Amino acid sequence: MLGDFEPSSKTEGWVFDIQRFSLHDGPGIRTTIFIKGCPLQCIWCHNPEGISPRPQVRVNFNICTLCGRCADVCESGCHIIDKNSHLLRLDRCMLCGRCASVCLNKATEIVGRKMTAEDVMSIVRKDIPFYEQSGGGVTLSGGEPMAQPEFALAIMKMAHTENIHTAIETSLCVNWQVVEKFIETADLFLVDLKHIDETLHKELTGISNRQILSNVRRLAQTTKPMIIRICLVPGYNANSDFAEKLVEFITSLEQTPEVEILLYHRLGIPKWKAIGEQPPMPEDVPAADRDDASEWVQRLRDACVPVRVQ
Amino acid sequence: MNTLTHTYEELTSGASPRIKRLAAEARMRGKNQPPYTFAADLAAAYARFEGVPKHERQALAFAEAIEKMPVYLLPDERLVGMVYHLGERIKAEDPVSWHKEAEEIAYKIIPENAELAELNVYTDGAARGHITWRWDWILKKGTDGLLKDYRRALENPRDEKASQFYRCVIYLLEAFQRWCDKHVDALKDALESCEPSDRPRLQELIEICSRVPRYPARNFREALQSFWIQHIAVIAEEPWGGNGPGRVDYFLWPYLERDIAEGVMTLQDARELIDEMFIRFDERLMDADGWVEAIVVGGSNPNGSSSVNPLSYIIVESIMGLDVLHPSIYMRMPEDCPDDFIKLAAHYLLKGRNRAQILNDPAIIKAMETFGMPKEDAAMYTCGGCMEITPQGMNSDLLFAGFQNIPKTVELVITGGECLVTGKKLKAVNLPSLVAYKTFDEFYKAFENELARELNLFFRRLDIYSEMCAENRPCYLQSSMIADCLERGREMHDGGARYHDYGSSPMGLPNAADAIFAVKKAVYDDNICTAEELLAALRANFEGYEDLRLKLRAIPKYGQQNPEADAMAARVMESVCRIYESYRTRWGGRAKPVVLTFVWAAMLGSQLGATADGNKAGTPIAQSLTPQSSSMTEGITAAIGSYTSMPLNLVAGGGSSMWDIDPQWASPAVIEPLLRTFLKLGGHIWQGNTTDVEELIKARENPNDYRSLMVRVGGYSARFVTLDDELQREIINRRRHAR
Repeated sequence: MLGDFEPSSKTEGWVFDIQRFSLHDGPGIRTTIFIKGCPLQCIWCHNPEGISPRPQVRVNFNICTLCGRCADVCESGCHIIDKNSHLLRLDRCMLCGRCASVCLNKATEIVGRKMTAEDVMSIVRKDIPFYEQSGGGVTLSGGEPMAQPEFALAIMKMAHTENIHTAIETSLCVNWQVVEKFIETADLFLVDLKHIDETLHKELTGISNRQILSNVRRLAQTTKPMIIRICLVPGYNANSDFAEKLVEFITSLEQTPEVEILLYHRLGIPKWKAIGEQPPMPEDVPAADRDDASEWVQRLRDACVPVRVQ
Repeated sequence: MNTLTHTYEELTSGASPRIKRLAAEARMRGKNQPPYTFAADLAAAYARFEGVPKHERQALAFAEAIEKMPVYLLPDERLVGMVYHLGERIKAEDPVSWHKEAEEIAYKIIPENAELAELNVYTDGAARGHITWRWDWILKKGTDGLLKDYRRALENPRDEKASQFYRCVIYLLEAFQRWCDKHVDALKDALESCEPSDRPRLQELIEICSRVPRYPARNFREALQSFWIQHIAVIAEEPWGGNGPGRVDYFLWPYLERDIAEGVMTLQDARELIDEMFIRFDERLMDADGWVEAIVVGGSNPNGSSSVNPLSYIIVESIMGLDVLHPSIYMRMPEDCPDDFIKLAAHYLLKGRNRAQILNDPAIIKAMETFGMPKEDAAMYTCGGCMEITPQGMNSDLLFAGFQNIPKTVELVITGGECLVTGKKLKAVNLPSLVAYKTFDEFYKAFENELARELNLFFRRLDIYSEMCAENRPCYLQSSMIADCLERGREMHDGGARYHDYGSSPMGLPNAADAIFAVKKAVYDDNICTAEELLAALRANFEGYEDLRLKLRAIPKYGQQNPEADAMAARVMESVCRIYESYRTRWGGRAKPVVLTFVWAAMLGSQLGATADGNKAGTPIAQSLTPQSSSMTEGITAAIGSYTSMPLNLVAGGGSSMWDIDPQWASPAVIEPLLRTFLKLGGHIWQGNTTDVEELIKARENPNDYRSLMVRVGGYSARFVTLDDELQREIINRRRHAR
């Protein structure tokens, strides 16, 4: 995989969204590129359409008028429409795309399209005047951008060459050799940490965090600006144990990163249903509020770690 | 170049206790205004002067009415003068009837106009006002000095008309001064019976009012008093919406600068005086929600350098700290804008109770220069009311003389002259329907031709109005402060004004562009439907044509930074502007597009049938040059990108834009870079609401709890609960840019 690594403007990859005027994915006004595919399976994932690296059907039930056209053209019975509901059975989806092409108000779409790095950059460039005035730029996110390293790197390189500030939002769940390749062109790393405890990490995300933590350690040894992001989920990781271990871990790093606490919100739940799946976490898990974060903030501040709650 | 460095910390952050008290007292008085006798006095005087030649007769009648205006002294005031003539119960009336007569004559001469007004292609009649004037001449010379100029000119007039004009101005200026003198008498009377503690205040006022406006102002107090007293008198003579003070900070700062250097005044005290003056504005105009008297601060000097000064900041901070509806305060951002002035603008947008409007000097001045105006004049631009861009004291007053429903013209060209709302048919020309056009270019040419026909009729009507204005409704007091009436010996509508430009508004440009683009793609490029099918769908208001409607809605729109759609918007805008540009008014002036929609979005939408871009009949039209709310699917940066890619240099009257923002993410840290980018990209005018939609919805349910909630209608701000249902809904439904 790493052998013929020649990212260029023509390098292709799968993208599931490009969001202009992003205010929460790095400094200033940014354009966020959501790259499809992720090795993790976080139970609280709020971009579930980013998990699979392949394109897939997605239905926005708010817009769907139950006209039934999609059901009419689907030969696999994926869409079950009656006058009250639109049910999805996407396990049998052949990805022919016919349902999306007949949906007149774009309620049913194929999420995930192949783009070249140049395709992406031509959208990114549109907001250069806004980046310049706000200290903004482009952020790669997803999914896991480093899971399509050649594509992600191609975008980073192009942006970097064009003097656009680059940020990459990643879980660092790949080989260090891959991470290393991003160091030159990334101005900022936004690192999503799900848990410090290895067992709990496996339960919550499906994989061990050993490589992740090791990567964070190594990254902290460079001079690269890094912000560690923690998503606080009540009942799952919003507890003193994690807080304590996090402080321990962070203060042990060579460079002290900033910490950003993201409060779990429930906007992800309908997104699972939109791709025909059940949210892996019970739906009654409440959103986190600032009180949930207060202990964290206190502990981190006591340890002289800069912390902000988003 | 200003020598004083402004710092925020030098200004008080809120109104003083004295000001708060004055404000409360002013509110009570403002809501209980005494009856306005000006119109009756004018009529009586006019009747008595029967037999005198018409213009002299008018001048003498106005002079008498002004002199007879009551003299009001208000408790604890440091500023003298009040005219109560506006408010909820008392509407501003033009004391002279000329409008109806002008309309009748216009219809006789250009009968085709009536039909177009009936079809709602454009408005009937013409509104006057929307200008500013050079009151700084009175500050510099005093009324005595100005009278000297006119008396000297009278000794050697170029002809009888000039002689008459000079005499009429002299009547007005002398009467105005006599009315001012009455205030000194009243103050002296008050001095005899006042409390000892009040003596110093009254003595000071007597000194000031004995000096100004008769003689040149020597300091800031005198300059402010001179400005204020002439302002309320001129508006009494010309009670039309949009007439306003203009560049108050520009003209008053030199006096304040000197006072501060000499140690006789502080910025703090200046702020107190400005606060008091704004309270005075509001008391006078109490509850007149749609009325705009606009002060424009900041901006550029004639040589292009920044003229932002400490008074510019004081004025904005003052209005942010007061709970008043008037005056309107707008900010001009010069090329080399001080950093903290832009920061102030961002704060004003967020915390200024939706009153802010930010103007971009380099872009607007460039448009005026493209129009042919020399740079020094262009640099003196102000807003005549909402936004009507005009140089201070140089233009006659048909600056917002009506507006056109451009999407309506598109509708008529598509349907073959048939109004989809009323079924009425255009008779003056035989327009074929869309079916007749074999190519898109043929259709577009037909649109341009019909629009040119309509607009030329519209402008010709304005010429007739202007003639009627000069003939039947001259404005002598105001004309005395408009360049170049003295030199030319003519009233402002009679060829006296330096610029005899007319302004009117082509509304719904984004809608027209989207509809035309949809026709191109659907019928001519991509075979989505035939012309017949489209016509049938529009006639049926898309009933039974939902599929087609959704396909039409899916066609790219202006505002998404789609190059083709935006290019069409630019093309339509250019077509409209070129037609405006090609007209010459009766004194060699120009017609300039003043692009706004504002309060008329719902009304003009209701005049439209279903449109080719997939909107059903009655959909409110877009706000000025802002893309349609439903089109801004790619976010605010894309929408700003589309807007700034328009040929804004063709819009000498200003191209407004409206950005309503969800306050959840809006902090100065985000608004500031958005505004800076907007300015850099050449946007003209930024305004918008930053109130949570939830709050607006609550205000509809419990209006009593939200009586003072203000919103940006567009061009002006008003109390939300006083707006009619349709307008409230239009404001709620505007796209709130969110993230």
